Amino acid sequence: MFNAKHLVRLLLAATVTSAVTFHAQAGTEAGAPDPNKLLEQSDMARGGGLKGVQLNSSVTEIRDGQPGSELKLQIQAAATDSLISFTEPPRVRGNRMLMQGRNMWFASPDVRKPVAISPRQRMLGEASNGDIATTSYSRDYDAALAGEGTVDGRPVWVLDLKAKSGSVAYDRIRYFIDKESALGIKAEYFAVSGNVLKTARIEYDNHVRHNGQTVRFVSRMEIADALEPSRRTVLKYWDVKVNDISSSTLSLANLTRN
Amino acid sequence: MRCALVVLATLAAGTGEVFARDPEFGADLVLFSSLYDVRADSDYNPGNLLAGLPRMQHGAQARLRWRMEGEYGVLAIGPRVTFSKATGSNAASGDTRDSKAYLQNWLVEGRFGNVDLFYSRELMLWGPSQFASPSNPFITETNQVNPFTELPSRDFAGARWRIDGRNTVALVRNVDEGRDRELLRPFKAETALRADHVGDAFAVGAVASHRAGRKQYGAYGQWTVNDAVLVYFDAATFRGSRRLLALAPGVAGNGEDWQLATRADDRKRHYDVLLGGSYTFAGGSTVNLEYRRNTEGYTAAERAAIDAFAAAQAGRFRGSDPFAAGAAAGQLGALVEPYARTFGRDTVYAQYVNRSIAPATSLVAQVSYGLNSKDGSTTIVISHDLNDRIKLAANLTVPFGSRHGDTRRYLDSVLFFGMTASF
Repeated sequence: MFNAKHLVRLLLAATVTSAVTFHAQAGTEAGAPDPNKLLEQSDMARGGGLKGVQLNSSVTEIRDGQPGSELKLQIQAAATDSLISFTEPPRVRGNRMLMQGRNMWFASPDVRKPVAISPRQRMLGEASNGDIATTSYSRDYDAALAGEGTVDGRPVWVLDLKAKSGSVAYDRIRYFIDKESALGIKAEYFAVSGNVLKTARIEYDNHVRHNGQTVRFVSRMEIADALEPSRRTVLKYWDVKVNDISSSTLSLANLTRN
Repeated sequence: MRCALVVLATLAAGTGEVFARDPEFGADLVLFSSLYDVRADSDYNPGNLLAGLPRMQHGAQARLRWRMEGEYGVLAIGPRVTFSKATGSNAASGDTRDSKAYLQNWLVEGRFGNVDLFYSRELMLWGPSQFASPSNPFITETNQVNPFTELPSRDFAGARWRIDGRNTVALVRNVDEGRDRELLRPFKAETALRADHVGDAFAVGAVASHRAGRKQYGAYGQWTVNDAVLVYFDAATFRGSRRLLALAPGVAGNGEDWQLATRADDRKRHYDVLLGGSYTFAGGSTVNLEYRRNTEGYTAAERAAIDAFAAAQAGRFRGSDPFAAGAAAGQLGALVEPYARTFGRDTVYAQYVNRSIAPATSLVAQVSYGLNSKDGSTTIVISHDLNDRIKLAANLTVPFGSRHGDTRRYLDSVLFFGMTASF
C-alpha cells in the first residue's frame, strides 16, 4: 500500500541514493565491514554529500503487466527536507507535498492551508505500493551484517536493518549493497510477522556533476508487492541537477504561496 | 493593489535569469450548479425576503495561476473570472446574472539572504486543524472542503526571517480586507508576530497580534506520533470581545425596545482552544476528531436572547409599518455576523477521508456539533476523477439538530455539484 510518506521517502531515497558513487572501501578490505559504516556510506552515496538536488520523476502503477495511473513530479530535496510538486496529470497540477523530518504537509490549489498528514495517509489516489527507504537509513535503523550474496550476478553485502524507533515505516529491512559501487541495489521490507511485504530494485543510469566529478545517480526504482506480485510501482528519474535548495523553498510558508 | 500589479509585471518582465526554475502555470475551469433548500419559517430571514437566497444557482469560474520562483524571490498571481446565474424564489431573490473578474491571490516576494519581504493577497492560513485555527488572528474558520467555493483572501505585507531551515520568525500586517469585505464594520489593519519551529516529528508556533488596541496571543502545534497518528492543538487568548449581544427591553438601562450591542466594557480574558488528533488506517483512510472550547461563545441565556430578539424583529419585518420593517431588516442583517467566533462554547468536529472509496473516487465526510446549542452540520463531498483532466464532484451540506442554534437559521440543506477541468 503506497502512502504519502512512503512516496516521498521512496522518491527521496532514489533521489539521493547513490548521488555520489563511493567505493565500498570497508568492503574491499579484508574482513567483514562495519555494517553501520557501510550503511552510512550507502546513505552518503544517496546524497549525503550533496547540498541539494532537484529532479523530475514519474510514478507509474502497473497491474497485471499493464501500466495504469501515472503521476509526474518535480522534487527538490536537501538533507531531510523535500518539496514535491505534482506536474501531471493536469488535475493534480499545483498539488504539493512538503516533508521536514518526519513532519508532512499537503496543499493544493483547492486547499490553501497546509494540511498536516500522517505518513500513512494516501495522497496519491491509486498508487498502491508501499514504503521503501528513507533518505537516511543510518538515522532510522541499526545495521547488522547478515552475510554476502549476489543480486543479478553482482556480489553484494547483505545488511539487516532494525528500526530504532516506532515512528519509521518498517520494523525491519534487508538491504543489499553492491560491493563495488557501495550502492543499494535491492531492498526487502518486512512486516512485524516476519513476512516480506515488498521488494525494491534500483538502477543508476543517471549521472550528475558533483565537486568536479561525474557520479552515478538513480534512474529507476521498481517496487513489487510481495503479497500481490502483479502489482508494481515503477519510479523513473531524469533531469537531475545538484543545486542549492533554499530553506525558503523547503518551508511551510512557501507551500501554499501562489 | 494596482501598485502591486505594476511591480509584479515589472519584475516579471525583467526577471529573466533571476529565476532558476521554469514558471508554473495552471488553469482550472469550474462548472457547477447549486441547489438551496431555503428555510421558509426562519425568524432570521423571514420568508427569504431579507437575505434573498436563490433557489438555484449555476456558475462557471476560470481559476488561473502563474508562479515563478527563483533564488531571489517569487512572483505569483491567481486571477479569477466568474459567471453566475441565479434563479430566485420570490421578490427578494429574483433571477440574476453576474460576472466579475478579480484577483484571488498574488505574491511579490524578494529573498535577501535569510530574509524575505513580501506583499501578497492570499489566504494566510496555518494550524493543524481541519476546521479552524483559533491562533490565527486574520482567518479563524479555515474549512475548505467545498471544491466549488473559495475563502475570500486578504492583502498582507510582511517580512520573514529564516533563522535556519527549521526556525522562522515573521512579522505580518493585514493591510487591506482584499476579497474579505466586512460589510458592517470598517476594516482595521492587524499586525501579527509569528515564530515557528519544526522538529523532527513535531512542529510548533506562537503568534502575538494587535488590532485597534486589542491584543491576542496564540500557539499551535502538531506531533507525528507514528506513521498513523497525529495529535495537535491550536489555541488563542484575548481580552474583550466584539460579539453582539441582544439586550431585552428594560434591561441594564435599555429602552423599551430590543437592542443589539457590544460590551465596550468587556475586559474579560477569553480562551479559544482546540485539541485534535487523527488516525490513518492501513488502507489509507483517515479519521480526525477535534474538540474546541471557546469561552467567548454565547451562554444559554445569551443564545435565548438572540433568538427572542430575532423573533421580535421578524414580527416587525412582517408587519405593515414600512419604517419598522426597514429597521428590523437592519437589525436582522447585523445578526448575519455576530462576531463571536463560535455560537456556543463547546464544539466537536469529526472528519473521515477515504481517497479510494471506489476506483478514482474520494469521499470526505464532516460533522460539526455544538454541545451547548445542540445543533450541527454534516457535509459529504464525493469526487471522481473522470480522466487526467476532469474531476466530478458533489458537495451536500445538511444542518441538523435544534432550530435555535446557528446552523439552521437560513438553509435546510445546500447541494453543489459540478466538475473541474484542469489545463
